[in-house]
Order: sequence, then C-alpha cells, then structure tokens
Amino acid sequence: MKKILVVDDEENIRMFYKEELEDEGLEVHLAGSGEEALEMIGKNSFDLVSLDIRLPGIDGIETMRRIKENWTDIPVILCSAYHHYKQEFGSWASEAYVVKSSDLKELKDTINKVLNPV
Amino acid sequence: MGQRLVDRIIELTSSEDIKQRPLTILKTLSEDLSAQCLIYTFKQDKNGFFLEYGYGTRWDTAPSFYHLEGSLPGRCILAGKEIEVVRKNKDLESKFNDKGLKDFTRALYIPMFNNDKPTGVLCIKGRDIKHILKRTVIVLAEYLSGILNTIALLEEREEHIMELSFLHEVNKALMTTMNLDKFIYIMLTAVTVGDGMGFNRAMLFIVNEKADIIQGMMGIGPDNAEEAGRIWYDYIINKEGLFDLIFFEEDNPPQINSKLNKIVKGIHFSLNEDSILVCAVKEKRAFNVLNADDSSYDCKEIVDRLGSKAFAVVPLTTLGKVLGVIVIDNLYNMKPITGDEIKVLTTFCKQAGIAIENSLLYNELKETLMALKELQTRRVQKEKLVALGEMAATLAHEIRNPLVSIGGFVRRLGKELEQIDLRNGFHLKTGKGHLEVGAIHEGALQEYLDRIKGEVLKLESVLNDVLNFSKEGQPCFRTEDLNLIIQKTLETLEEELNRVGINLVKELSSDRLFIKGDEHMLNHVFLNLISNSLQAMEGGGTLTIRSFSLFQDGREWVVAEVEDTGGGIEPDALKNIFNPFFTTKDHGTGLGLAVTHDMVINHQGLLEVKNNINKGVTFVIKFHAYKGAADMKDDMTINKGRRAIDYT
Repeated sequence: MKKILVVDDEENIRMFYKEELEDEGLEVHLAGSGEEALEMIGKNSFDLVSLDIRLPGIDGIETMRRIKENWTDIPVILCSAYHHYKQEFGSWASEAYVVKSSDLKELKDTINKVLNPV
Repeated sequence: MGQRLVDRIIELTSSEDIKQRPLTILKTLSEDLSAQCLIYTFKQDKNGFFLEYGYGTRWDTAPSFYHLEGSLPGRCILAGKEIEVVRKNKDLESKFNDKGLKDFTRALYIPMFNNDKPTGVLCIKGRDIKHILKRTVIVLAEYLSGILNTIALLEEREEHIMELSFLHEVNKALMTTMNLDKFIYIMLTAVTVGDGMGFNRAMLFIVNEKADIIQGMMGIGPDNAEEAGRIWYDYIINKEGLFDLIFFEEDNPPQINSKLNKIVKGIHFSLNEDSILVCAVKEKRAFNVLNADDSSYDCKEIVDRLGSKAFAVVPLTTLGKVLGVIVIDNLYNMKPITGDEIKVLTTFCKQAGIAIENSLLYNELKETLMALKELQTRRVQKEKLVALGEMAATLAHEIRNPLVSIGGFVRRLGKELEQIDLRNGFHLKTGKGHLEVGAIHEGALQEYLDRIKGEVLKLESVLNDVLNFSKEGQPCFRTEDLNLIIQKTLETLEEELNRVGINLVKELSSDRLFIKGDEHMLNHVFLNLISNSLQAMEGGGTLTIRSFSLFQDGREWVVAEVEDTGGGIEPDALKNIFNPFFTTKDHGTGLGLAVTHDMVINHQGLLEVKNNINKGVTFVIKFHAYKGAADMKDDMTINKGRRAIDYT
C-alpha cells in the first residue's frame, strides 16, 4: 500500500482527506504544519506528499523546497485553495498543482498519475 | 453783592446735572438783575452765533442767529473783550440795527473762549438794570464758559458712544451668522431702521471681478411713500428695535418681495463704464450726490432705475480691496444726507466690509472642506476596494476550505446513508442490523453533521467580517452607558468564558459613563476585543475588564481596558495589528481588529494597544465623555442663534 502524507492546517480538511483517500486504498498520514511534515518525512518514507500552500510557520512553498532539497525523489503535489497560481506552478518544482475541491476528484486523479505513471 | 451772587450761583449749580447749569445761571442772574439773559453759541461752519439758552422778559423774541461780522456779539468776540452799550439819545435798536435791543436801554456782551477758540457770547439786556458789577458778570461768564465747554465735550462723547455702541451691536448681530444673505440683510436694515442711521432706502451692489461687473444684490426699503409712512408709524408706536427685526428663525432671511429688491437685483454696471458706482469702486471713496442733475458724474442709471436724484454711494472696503458699494437715499422724507452721516456710514462700511469678506471666505472654506471630505471619502472607498481585491486571496482560503469540508462531509454522509437500507434498517456493508447500525454509525454521522455545522458558522462569520469591513454603515448614535454595553457583551460570552476556564476580573467604574455611540457597533467592538483575548488564552488565563473616566488634554474621556494574559504580541506584529488582513492566527480574515478600529474611529474615539511582553496585551479604548444636559444646551444655543453670542 502506498503511503502518503497530507499536510493542511485545517483539521476538518485533514480528516476529510484521510477518509476519502483511505477509501482509495492509500495509507494516509497527517501533518498540521510544515515543520511537522518535515519531521514526519524524516522518520517515514512516504510515496507522496500533498501540501497545502497556506500553512502557519513555514509556508507550503518553503516546505516543498526543503523536501526537494533533502529528499529528492519524493513527489509533491501542491493542493491549495488558491487557483490563480495554477498557471505558474511550472516554475516551481512540484509535480502538480491541484485546486482544493469538495469531491477531491482532481486530487485523486493526480495522485494516481503520479504514483502510477504509465 | 457781586461775590454773594457768584457764591449763590455756584452753590445752586454745584449739585445740579451739568446740562442744567447754564439755565440755572441765567435764571439766577436774570432774576437778580431784572434783565434778559441769553447765551449764544458760536458755530464755526455757519460763521455765526445761535441762541442756545435764554431767560427773562421776552427772551424768546431775541434773534436766534447773529453773523460774526457786523453784530454786537460778533464784535465782542473779535475784540476779545466785553462790550457794553447804553442808550443815550437814539434807541439801541435803531442805533445798532438789532431787533434784539428793542426797548432795552442797556446791554452787556461778554465773549467766551476755550483756549483762544470762540465758543459763544453771554448777553445781558435790561431796562432799568440794577448796577451790574462788570467784574462779577465776567467771572460768571468764565464759569459759564467752562460749563459750556464741558457740555460740548460730553455731547461729542455721547454721540461717539452711541455711534460706537450702535456699530458694536450691529457687529454682534453680524457675527451670529455666516450666511451671506442674512448678513447683507442685517447690514442694510441697520442702515435704514430708526434706531440705526434711519435712511429711507439702502441697497447693496457687489463687485463681480470674473464677470467684470458690479451687480445689485439686495435692496431694503419701502416701495412707496405710503408704505414708508406706515413703517415709521409702526416704529414709533411699537419701538421695534434693530434686533427684533434681525432675529428671525434659523438662517433664512424673510422673503424680500419688495419691488425695490427686485429692481436692485436686476441692475448691473460694467466696471469699464463710468457710472458713479464704478467711480466709487475705482476711487475707493464715498460720493454724496445732493442733486443728480448738478453732478458731473454719470448718475443716469441710478436716477432712472431707482428714482432718486439725491443719494449717497459708500464703498465697502476690506484691506484695500473694494467688495462693493452701498447706495442710500431718503427718497420719501427728502432729508439731505449730511457729511457726518457719510462719515458714520463709511466707518460702518469698513466694518461690514471685513465681516462680508469673512463670510465669503468662510463659505469658500466650507465648500473647499466639503470637496475635500468628498475626495477623502472617495479615496477611502477606493482604498477599501483595493483592499477588498487583496482580500480575494484570503477569501479563497477562508471560504474554500469550509466549502471543501462541508461538501466533502456531505458526500461522505451520502455514501454512508447509501450503505444503509433505511427501510429494513440493515447496513449493507457491515451486515449489521438496525440497532447496531444506529450504534456504530450514529457517532460517525453525528460527527459529520457537527463538523458541517461548525464550518457553516465559520463561513457566516467570514461573510460578516467582509461585509462590516466594506460597508460604510450608518451608525445610529444615542446616549449609551459604556458599563452597560460591557456588561451585555460579557453576558453574551459567559458560556464561552466558563468553557475555556478563563478567570474574569471586572473593575468597572461605579459612575455612569455616558458616551454618544451606536449600541450595535460598540457591542461589536467589545465582542471582538474580548474574543481576541480569549483566543490568545487557549489554555486558560485571566481576563480583566476596566472602565473609568479620565480628564486629559483638557477633555473628559471615558476609557475601557481589555487586558489578557495571553503572552503578548511580537513587537514586529504590533505595528500591523490594526491593518486589514493582518493576522497571527491560523485562520481568520485578519479583519476583526481592522473593523473594530474603524468603528472606534467612527465614534471619534481612540484605540490603542499596550503590549506586556510575555504577559499579555491590554487594549485601551477611549471615547469623548458625553456631558448630557450641558452638551445639549450648548448645541441649542449655537444652532438657534436667538440672541447674539456673547463674545466677552
């Protein structure tokens, strides 16, 4: 089973994502901040990280930078409420940029694509 | 005998009002000497003497005027000493060609001077005059002269005082209004009313530099002789003073429907023409036209349009600039306008000119201020719009997250419910029966519902924050007791306080702390500040609320303090704390304090924050104290303007 880390500061979002993604057959771990995420990545080996951009403390982009710096091969999906960065994400190092929505369809599809490249 | 007479006279007059003394002296003298006694005063501009006081036989038949040249009084003045005439052969009347000497056999003329300037002549005439001690009479004449000089001075002073007091009263009246129309009305009325200078008609023309003309603005006066008579009659009977005429309600002068006003408003002269009004403006001086036909200036328009051949034009000046002119005439009583009157009018116009300029400047200032305020409002609006634009990013987060949660949980609810065969109460997935379905899944379902409810509330509060920030809001200001507002807010938060385990300390003033405020907004202010404090004290703490009155900077203030033990704010964050979208919290729009700050400003109050590093934060809110009855009385006095404001 693939292990993924979902990072978001909202508890409700974390809970919801966990339940939905577990239904997809993934092992889901949660972190509420960039610092917590980095700590957990250090201790576990994740197959994918889903990162919210707006986080307390160090923000999503900085967190991603550090992940990429220290663990080069972990794919990172930026998952955010902001949609107007979507066009620009290409200049960042994330694998994908997903806009949060209540049906998580885009997120699930993207996770699928990233974890199971054809 | 002479000395006794003098003593007697001095004794009699010493206790008398000075204006009575000349007559008393004449009376005593006349009775003592059985003579006719007269006092003639010298008038420089008429070059002659006028009979001022008289006593004794036939004194009222004495000539009322003597020329300086060729008359006996004149001669004694020119000689500088007394002259005595005694009948010898011819009767005195024919000898000196003086009707005043008819049937008299002896006459004595004593000149009176004030520092070498002739003031008058004392004249004593008799038939069988008892022997007059010339020296006695000369002494008395000196005494009399002194009295007459003092009287003349007094009268001059009195006239001056009346003039000044009149001008002073009018100026006070003028100061009660900045309304130009009312101003002009007061001015022109002052000049026409009985107590004032009493001219028949007064008209004001103002210089309009932009249009290069002088324009008629207002005309006060009766439209015909009949109306004029009625007004004077009314005045005499009712003694309507100047102020009764002036103090009408509010700032609107009564409608001036007179024909004169209409005529004046329709008159205008080009400043390039040579009409007399324009000359007055250009030469900055007054003109007294006794007869327009004889005048070398162009008075045609005035005569034709206003119907007066005799009138005066006085410029209204201020600091060298001519604002306009006042034209006055006595069309109905045909009284000639004197040089003295022109002098008084000129002084008055100088004052009025300054007052009008003040009014014009004030109005200009008011307009500029209004324009600035409007600009400011628009700028603030624009800034808010820009801020709102920036808000879009934050809103995305604040709204989308709850939506995602709500949508997500609703979806999950749906999925769970699909699994339950509601009719049979059988959970398809787990295969458990009705009761057990309830037991297992009720918890999960309830949790979803609770979370959804929570997110919806969050959304509502976000919406409120946005609306409060963007709307102008018309607050409704009433008298409020700050303590009551604080109490109410604390009641609302009571549950919350207990739940989080906060220790509440209330140090509210025992006095009533009245302020002018909008109850709803004030509630919001305290709700927000206290909520902030509570959020900073998640793990418990002490919330202290204080209220008190304070006298500072010459004003009474009502102060409230909200103090928490939440650890304080980073000094860096402190300066941004009231900026919109700034927040140190995980969530929230960052608008709460910005809105609160705005609301306090709307109440003309002050909101400050004291940072007690590592301890907590104290928010200090200051409002102007509302004095109640005292304040209301001040408002009324200024707004109604029933009496001139006392500028002492």
